[in-house]
Amino acid sequence: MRITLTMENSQTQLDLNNDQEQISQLSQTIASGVKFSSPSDDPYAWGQCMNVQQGVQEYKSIQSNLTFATGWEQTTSSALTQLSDLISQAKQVAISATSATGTAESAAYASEVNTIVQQVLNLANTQYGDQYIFAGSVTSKSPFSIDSSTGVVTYDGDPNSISVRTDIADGSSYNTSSINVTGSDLFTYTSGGNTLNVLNQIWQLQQALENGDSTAVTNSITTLSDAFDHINDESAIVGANLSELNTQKSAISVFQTNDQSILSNLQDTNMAQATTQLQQMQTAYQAALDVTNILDNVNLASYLTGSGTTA
Amino acid sequence: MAGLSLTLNTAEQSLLNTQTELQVSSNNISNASNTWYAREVADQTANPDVERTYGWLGTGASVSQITQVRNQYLEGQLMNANSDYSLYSGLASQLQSIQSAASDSGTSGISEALGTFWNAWDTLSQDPSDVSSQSAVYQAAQNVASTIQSTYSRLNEIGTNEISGQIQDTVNQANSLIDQIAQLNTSIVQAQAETGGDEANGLIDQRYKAMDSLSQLIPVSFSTAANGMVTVTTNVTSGPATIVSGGTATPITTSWTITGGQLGGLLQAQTDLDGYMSQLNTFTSSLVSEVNYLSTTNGGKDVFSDTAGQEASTINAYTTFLKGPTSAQLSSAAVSIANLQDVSLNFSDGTTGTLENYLSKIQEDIGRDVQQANTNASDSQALQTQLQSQQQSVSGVSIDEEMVHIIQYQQVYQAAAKVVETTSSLMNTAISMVPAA
Repeated sequence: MRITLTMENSQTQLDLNNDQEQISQLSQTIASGVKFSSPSDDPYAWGQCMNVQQGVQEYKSIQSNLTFATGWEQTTSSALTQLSDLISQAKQVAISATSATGTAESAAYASEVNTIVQQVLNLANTQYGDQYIFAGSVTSKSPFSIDSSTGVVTYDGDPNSISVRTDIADGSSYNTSSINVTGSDLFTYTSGGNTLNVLNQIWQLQQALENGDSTAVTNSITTLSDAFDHINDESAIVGANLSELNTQKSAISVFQTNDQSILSNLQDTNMAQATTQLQQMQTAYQAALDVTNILDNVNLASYLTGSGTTA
Repeated sequence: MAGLSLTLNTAEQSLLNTQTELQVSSNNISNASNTWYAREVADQTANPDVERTYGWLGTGASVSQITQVRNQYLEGQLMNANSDYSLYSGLASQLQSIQSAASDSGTSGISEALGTFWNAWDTLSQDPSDVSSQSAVYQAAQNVASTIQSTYSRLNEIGTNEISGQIQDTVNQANSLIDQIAQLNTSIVQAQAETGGDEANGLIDQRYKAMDSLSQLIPVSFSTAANGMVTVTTNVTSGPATIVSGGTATPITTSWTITGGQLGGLLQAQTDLDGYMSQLNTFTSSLVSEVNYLSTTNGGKDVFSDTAGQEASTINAYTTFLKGPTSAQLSSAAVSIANLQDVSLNFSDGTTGTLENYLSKIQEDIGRDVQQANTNASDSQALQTQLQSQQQSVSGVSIDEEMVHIIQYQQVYQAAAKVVETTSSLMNTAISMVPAA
């Protein structure tokens, strides 16, 4: 086969170009730390990475919901504990008042219970951040008020729940957690076959003490007992929710770590491998350049004209 | 004397022959790096013998013609390889531009905007009546709409500016080469008529150069008729189409569905681009209708607006869709919409998956098309280089070879010159044999 001038050059050029291209690609993967910089480098892996990234971003959002939810539940829990203490205190007053003698003592007890009424009202209007936690979904205005002359407790909230997503959905079924105790759940309870309101019962006690109604005072020991139990029941529910939320937080945290590691496997450059390959390519390229240089000087014309060089 | 004259004439013929051969070699050497030049060889034929009493006496040789060495089959193959390589390398280049324009890594592009959008609804579910949470939702919705629109418009620009412009340029270039070939056909026949059938080597080289250049723009097949003219055809989807017949040129237009060469690559890129843009429309259409449905089902209003058939270029976000519904309704809407990112949907092109799955599929499709074009380009380049070598092996100039020839011609010339010198002095001797009167 005849070898002509242009043949030598075109094949050499092609090979040198290919070497240079590979060197350039390897350098880029080392410098950037990721194996691919565009979908065409590895289309399947690129697509996988996108889907994993979406999960990563969603988990972050879910964690933010979980943080919000646990904060809310903790505030609720603390309010319920305080409420429970106050009811207990009121009940103690009632017990003490049954053996009270004289209106001065009664008046003192009445005044104490009046303070308790105010404190319970304040607790019922607890806020977490900007939101009233016992107002159902109407969290922007304070839900409870009491008419001090009639004892009527007005609830301006609603019975709706505040729900946030606490996990990635499977299919189209949501994974949410409803985090609030509504106003009615808070104060409405039954005692002796009747439906009662906790705040109202404490107000009743105050009235009874002011009026010297000892039957009513004795009665309120029972109703306040039941109120105490009711609040403790609610407290237990909140406690269970909180515990579940904390477990969920840890679980999500594990998923997040997993996703990060999947992402890393997919896209991070294996530095040791890449640098070794780069060195190999560079050596090969250098050898190709050397050969090109040698061959360029080997032709008949240069020998005949005396300027031929020995390789 | 007749004998010596004959010898002198024969030697003179040798000198002239050698000069011609040297010129042919010199011409070859000066064209050594032209890939479209076919090396020439001076053919010698023996002059007729003369009859002598002792037998037939040779009278030397003369150069009968100068022929090119070329292999038309190889040239045809090479032109096919040129077309293939131009097709794939052109396609790869356009697809890479498209890939950059549509770039979405999951943390950039539409995916990022969409992620912010879902998160805004999650945050809203914590406090639906909070003004700053609501404002974040409006902003995120606007961001999604404008990111989709700008991605679409970048892609559209590549189609209407770059690709269309290049298609027109390529067609113009091809047509001027087609005209050139037709003209050369006519010139070659004329030149051959003038010299009584000798091949017009230079003109044939030029015609080959034109066809070679043309083969990069569109696919080229040619056949040579007995009179020296070539008929050139190109490939469209329905089969071969004649573009040069004799001295007549048939120009191509942008409506020809050429299936190879740079033009074929551009047309393919346009088709692929239309496909991606249509996928973007399908994605947007589902996004808008699903989100709007979830909002209105929960007592709210449409979140996005779009125009059917042009969703990606017309998507826009409303600015008051959170006003009106109650907190409970907003909460329900927020949870459903944030949840939408995990729901498997049925898209209008038959695929199923989440919205992010669809976006990643678009990226994968583009990536695969680029990868395929790159692989094809590299394969066809390797084939092209190989065929170039083969063609050059037949028609190319080898400097070493010409050097050896020149040495040969030099020796022949020197020997013939010696014969002239000797014959000349013999003639002088013969003349001086006759004394002056």
